[in-house]
Amino acid sequence: MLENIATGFEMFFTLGNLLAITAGVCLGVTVGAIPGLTATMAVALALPFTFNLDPVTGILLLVGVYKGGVFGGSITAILIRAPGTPAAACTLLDGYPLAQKGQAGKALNMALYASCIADFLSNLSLIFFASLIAGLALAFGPPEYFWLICFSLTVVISISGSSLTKGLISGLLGLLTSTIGLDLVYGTQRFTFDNFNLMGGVSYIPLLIGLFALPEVIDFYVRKVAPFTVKTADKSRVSLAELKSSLVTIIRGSFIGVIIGTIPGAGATAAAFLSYGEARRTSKSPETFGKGNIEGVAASEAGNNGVAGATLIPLLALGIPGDVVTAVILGAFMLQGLTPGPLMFQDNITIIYAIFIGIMLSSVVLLGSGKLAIRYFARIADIPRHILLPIVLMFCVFGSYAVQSQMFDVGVMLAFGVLGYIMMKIDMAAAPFLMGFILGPLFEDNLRRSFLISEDITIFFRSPICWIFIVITILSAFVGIRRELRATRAKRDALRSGSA
Amino acid sequence: MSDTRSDTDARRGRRREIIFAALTLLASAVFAFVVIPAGVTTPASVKHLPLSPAFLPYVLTAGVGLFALIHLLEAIFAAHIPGEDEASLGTHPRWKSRVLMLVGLLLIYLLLPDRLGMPLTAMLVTIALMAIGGERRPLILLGVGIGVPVLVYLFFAHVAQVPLPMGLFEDWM
Repeated sequence: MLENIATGFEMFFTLGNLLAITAGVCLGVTVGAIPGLTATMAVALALPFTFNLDPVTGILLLVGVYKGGVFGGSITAILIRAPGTPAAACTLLDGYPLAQKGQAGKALNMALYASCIADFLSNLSLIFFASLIAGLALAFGPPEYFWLICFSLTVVISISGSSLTKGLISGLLGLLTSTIGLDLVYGTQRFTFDNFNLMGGVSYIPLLIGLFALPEVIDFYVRKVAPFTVKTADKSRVSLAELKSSLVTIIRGSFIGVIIGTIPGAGATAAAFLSYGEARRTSKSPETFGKGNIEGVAASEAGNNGVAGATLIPLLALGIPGDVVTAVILGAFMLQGLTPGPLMFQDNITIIYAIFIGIMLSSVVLLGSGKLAIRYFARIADIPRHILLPIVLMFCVFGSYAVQSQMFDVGVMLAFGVLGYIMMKIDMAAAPFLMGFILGPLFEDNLRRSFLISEDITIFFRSPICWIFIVITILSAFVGIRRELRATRAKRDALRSGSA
Repeated sequence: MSDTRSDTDARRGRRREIIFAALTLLASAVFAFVVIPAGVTTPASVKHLPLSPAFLPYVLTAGVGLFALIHLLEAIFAAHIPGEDEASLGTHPRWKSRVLMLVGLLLIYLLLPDRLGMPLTAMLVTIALMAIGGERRPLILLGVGIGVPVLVYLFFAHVAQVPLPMGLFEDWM
């Protein structure tokens, strides 16, 4: 074993590999920070460059792009409320209010530290628990997935904002929007009204951009004075005390990310929101979440980046891609003549070790390139709003168009932008809508697949995993609703005593 | 004086919540009785209700209706809690004309790129939006309004390999 590790080190420590990781992370951060261009797109764009590279160099380039892209999504989420990736939509809940208070630097730095720590822990999990966790993930069938999604959906309670009922309505509307398109089982039309563009459902990138970025643009032209108070030369930093107090949240979020990342298809968005919900639930001041709590940024970024290393677990251990990005990386492995899975650990163990070493190093590279990116990207906050927002709108249009190269997606973005603005005006949180929309297809797919496997409802109670998720779903919903009701009662009491 | 004002705000806020809940309730009824039957094709071979393509839309619509009803009762019987937006800044004195111009420019973004091309459309809209926002310096208007769209176009078209519509300039490229 030691001999294999030594050979792995030897294979890894080349200038080409170090350059590949650095270039990959930098490219990923830049592309991830542009609304509409996702980490998936960045990895797909980088794939052709790997054809003529060594297997280790090529894979590390893609892994670097992926990790950089996941962090990059948070930069614009914090600065201009335009999340670069769906998971970064959770980061903006507290990151953007912090930027509005002139603490963009603090939010960005906390996002970076949380990302790097979570990424490091996720990589460690990949190295030490790959086979163990992959075995657990294999035990997940449709009923187990269904309960996992139900549990994830309980987070909607925590991110409902000022009104629980409005938050729940928002989540249900998101789920309802996700049903648009061809039916998964019968192939019949649902709410497409013979529109060919809707057959594949509503694209999530235009929806995401419209829902979060466009309302800010509209609001700027409606309000008397722009509410965003720009503080030039923002010098706010994360203090050691703040980092220490957020450490538990980061570690907890990282492990939530690792567990969710291991399960194919569950995704970083669910992990980010689950981590955020847990942080809020255990916080001594849950009422400050959504208003610029630095722990909220740490929690969502830890959940988001905890997924990054863990999604490689089912890929490397079982040969199963957990999401689109790992499917592209699987393609890169195959182009290099390698087949991920148990046999790879026997036949190409030195390559595996070299990749593991590179992946561990990518966390450090992410810290360095992230710091550099923050220094330059943070200047975006200094641009006057009347100049910045037309540019943001331009990125929204270009980014939406880039998804499928069709103007229909620009229309979708504008439509959801108007919806997002109305939701903002009526004080209805948009985050539950996104959560419902992202998890909707998984929820319905696993519900119906369970019924296809067995027509008996007892299939939903078939395994201990089902029962564990049933119990934590009920507990999470109960605790969440009770807390929200208490908070509402406290607000009403305060109002009554104020008016008395 | 301030008590009277906060009472008026509370009444207005309560009325807004009642209207929101009533409209949502009405929308869920329209959805259940008109939109789902018209928009979802259910095959005759469906054996079990949960397997029907219309099952989840009906369940979700019922959920929306239920929570709208709870919200309506809450708005009528419980004390109103002011939302964050209610206490925020007012609207711009010329907000109506500004919104109309914004809507027009958004429609230009939607309808003109196929004819004018994406870069030219982006230039026109960006310059117009900056001018509406209060920018009067020609150097900034033209420099940012032309320079940034060109750079963004170059990035998307040549780095990200996105085939953007070029409209009038299709033959030139």
